[in-house]
Amino acid sequence: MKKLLSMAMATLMAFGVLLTGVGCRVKDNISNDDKTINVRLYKAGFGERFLYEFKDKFEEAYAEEGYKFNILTPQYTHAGTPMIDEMYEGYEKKKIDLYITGAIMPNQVSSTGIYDKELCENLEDLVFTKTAINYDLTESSNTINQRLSSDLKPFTMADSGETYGFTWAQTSAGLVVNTKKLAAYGVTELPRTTNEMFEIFDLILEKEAEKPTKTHPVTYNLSIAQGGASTYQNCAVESWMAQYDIDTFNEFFRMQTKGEDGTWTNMEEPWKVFENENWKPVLEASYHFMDEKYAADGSGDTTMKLDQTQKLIMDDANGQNNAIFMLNGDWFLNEVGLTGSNRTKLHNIEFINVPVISALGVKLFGASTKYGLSEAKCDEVLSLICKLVDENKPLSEIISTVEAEKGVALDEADAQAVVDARGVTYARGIEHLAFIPKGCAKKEIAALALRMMASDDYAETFLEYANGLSPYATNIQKTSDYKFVNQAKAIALNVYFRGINGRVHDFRNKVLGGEVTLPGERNLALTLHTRPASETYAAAAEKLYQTSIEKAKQAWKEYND
Amino acid sequence: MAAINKIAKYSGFERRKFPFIYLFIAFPVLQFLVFWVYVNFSSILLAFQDGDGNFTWDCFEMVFRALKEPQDYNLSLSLWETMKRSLFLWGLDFFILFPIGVTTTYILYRRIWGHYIFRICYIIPSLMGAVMWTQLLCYMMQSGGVLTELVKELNIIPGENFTNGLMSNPKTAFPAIVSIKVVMSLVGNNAVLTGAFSRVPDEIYESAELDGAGFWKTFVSIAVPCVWSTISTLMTFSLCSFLTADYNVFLFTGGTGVNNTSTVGFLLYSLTLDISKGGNPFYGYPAALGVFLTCLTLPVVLIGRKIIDSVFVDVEM
Repeated sequence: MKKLLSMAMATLMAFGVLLTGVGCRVKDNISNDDKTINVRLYKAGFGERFLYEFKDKFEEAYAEEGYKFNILTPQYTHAGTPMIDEMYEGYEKKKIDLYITGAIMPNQVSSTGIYDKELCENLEDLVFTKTAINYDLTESSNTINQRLSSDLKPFTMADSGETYGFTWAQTSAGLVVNTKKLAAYGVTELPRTTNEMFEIFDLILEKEAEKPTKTHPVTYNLSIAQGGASTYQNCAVESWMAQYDIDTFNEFFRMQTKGEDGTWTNMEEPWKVFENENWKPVLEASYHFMDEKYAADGSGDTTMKLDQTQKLIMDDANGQNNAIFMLNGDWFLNEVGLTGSNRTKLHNIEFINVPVISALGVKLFGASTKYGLSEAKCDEVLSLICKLVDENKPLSEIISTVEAEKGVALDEADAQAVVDARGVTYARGIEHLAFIPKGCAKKEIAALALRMMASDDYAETFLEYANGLSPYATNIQKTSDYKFVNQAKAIALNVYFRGINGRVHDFRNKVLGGEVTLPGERNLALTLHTRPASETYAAAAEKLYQTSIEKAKQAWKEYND
Repeated sequence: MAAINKIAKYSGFERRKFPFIYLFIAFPVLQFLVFWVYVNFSSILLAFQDGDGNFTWDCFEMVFRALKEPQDYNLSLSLWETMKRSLFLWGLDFFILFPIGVTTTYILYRRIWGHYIFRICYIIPSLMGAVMWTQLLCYMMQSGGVLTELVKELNIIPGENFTNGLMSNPKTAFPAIVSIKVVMSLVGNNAVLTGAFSRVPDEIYESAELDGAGFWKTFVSIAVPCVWSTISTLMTFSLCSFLTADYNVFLFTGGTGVNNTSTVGFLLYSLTLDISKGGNPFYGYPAALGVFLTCLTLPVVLIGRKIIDSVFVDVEM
């Protein structure tokens, strides 16, 4: 008996040792059927329901062929390096045909990536040069490449030129506004330029000084420990950088120069991207936006949770600490959740693109230009162009309207610069990519699924069930009950839309490390928020500008050493 | 030959137990090999490697440079100030709070009035996960939180309105960390020390009382020597972390370590976390910093241990 017990214990211990190696994981219900693709889904803020709806449509469309779309249990962990590790284990072993995932850059799965091995299929010929497929199997008149913004396409490609990723969500960063609370201050028109925004901020402060209600112009979250919440502010800083000078913006985040043939080569002295006078007005506007005087109580507290900050926006002005504006994104609605009182309160929330930096107006039409306009007039012109851009007016009409209403005859190039700036939208969707693993036996079926995900039909499904936008949408008939969602849709579908993202490329990553706007500024938003009150915005901007150059030089030196 | 003779000493019955024993210890040995030997060995090697894996002293140069510079390049925090802060917190804990903790545990153990309630109050924080109680404290120290309002009401720092709470104010952030450390240290070892005190037979205390020893005399001359092995173990653990304990700064500051709150443990954690998030996978600097701190800690631990062991002779009960 004793011997038996001892053997049983020994077996149990051995089993325990083995279990620690195995770990715990939900068992995948993999299908080995030739016509069924196994799909991994990263369960992010968009949820999972949209994909189950898509699955039904896909299977219905291909009922004759018998193609099936097998969604493996969606998990929050189906993103980043664990998925790359899984791809590395190989298709033969894992049998996953399609990864709808996130936090993976195409470079990471390329032959120069984490495993120095090509882990995914090149989707260029398989998907992007083909047409989108609607639910009734009719095809779009244009290719998927044509349906995707040319600004977003590079984010699906590795530096070597192969297209490994398929971006499956367009999410725009912007300003979330509680218009019900804003209307109490007599403001019904939302800001289109930074000066207009600061005027509204000052008006709120002025009225609050007369009759305090504890309503503040703005709030934000500065916690690094709260995922990417502290980077929401960076979306605005980077948008202003791109609005002010889109060409140097791209060079800044790549530390590469673009040749005439379109290829990028590493800069010889990459730290010099920081030595660019264009960043000064951007930093000045950023300091202005993050001025402590505008912020709700607790905004500068790095221990505040994101939902605490968002609550300040959702709360009515009831004499408790609350705020009107917040830098966030079109994902705000999903994050806040359509439950309880939020279901009705979300009707008070609107979404606008990051206002265009007013310094751009001064640069293009100010006293030192041939137009010689005053700063106020520059902003008026800037605002009017932005309004017309939002209405999708053609460039010629924009120029004629500005001349008629403001008496300023604009050059086409100058008008175009403002149009481009207004089109700039910080797109976080490129962080959500789908991949077909290398050697996938059913890659043709997986490619059909991706082509269907590039259709307007899918865009409507995604809008309805995920409150999200498809980056391939050209025409969405469906409208949401929420103004917020429709406004986000209008930004993404604007004819002048230019998706930007400060995701840094391999070379810059190696030189500076991490996704940072400025070297050594681990929490840029906190730096901007903690400006000494004695310093002007311009002085603080100048100081940060000089510090950044020095730090970039040092980083480059250490990289070379 | 000697080994064979040794095995021969065991009976057949005992030898049959060998597989069980080997399997029983296989798991901890495996854990030790993987998570201690391999991890430490590779970490030490990283300190002497450049990005391409070649031998270099550059990582140590970076550490010495960081000591001289007002701000560390990687986290914008001063390494020197951070080390001083860690040393202060450790000294406070080791020389003041730990002795107070031993004393209060003894007082509670000797069953003063209401000792059960006190003991429960003391032990609850030890049972809760650090993330939970730091989160609770964070809420209490935020704008409008109980502690923030208390500091405001008492007007401890005149003229401050604490709109962003206690942890975001340079005047209160570090004192808040110190205060939390004081409270937690007083209760931290309560469970372990109560266990140690309860192993001392009551007869010894009774005998001391019969000899005329008072409450404190019993504590100093009987209780402490009897539990010295436990106390010395706890003190040795404390010595080992004299520069590297993080004091939950990451959780208390939302991962920033700003407003003069960073500690070396926080710094090492944040450096590694930042690198693991992406970018240049160069662990050389934190690895070199770790080796440098180990070099500082090692003599302190060895000498300290010798001193601690020499205070009382082990008591067998």
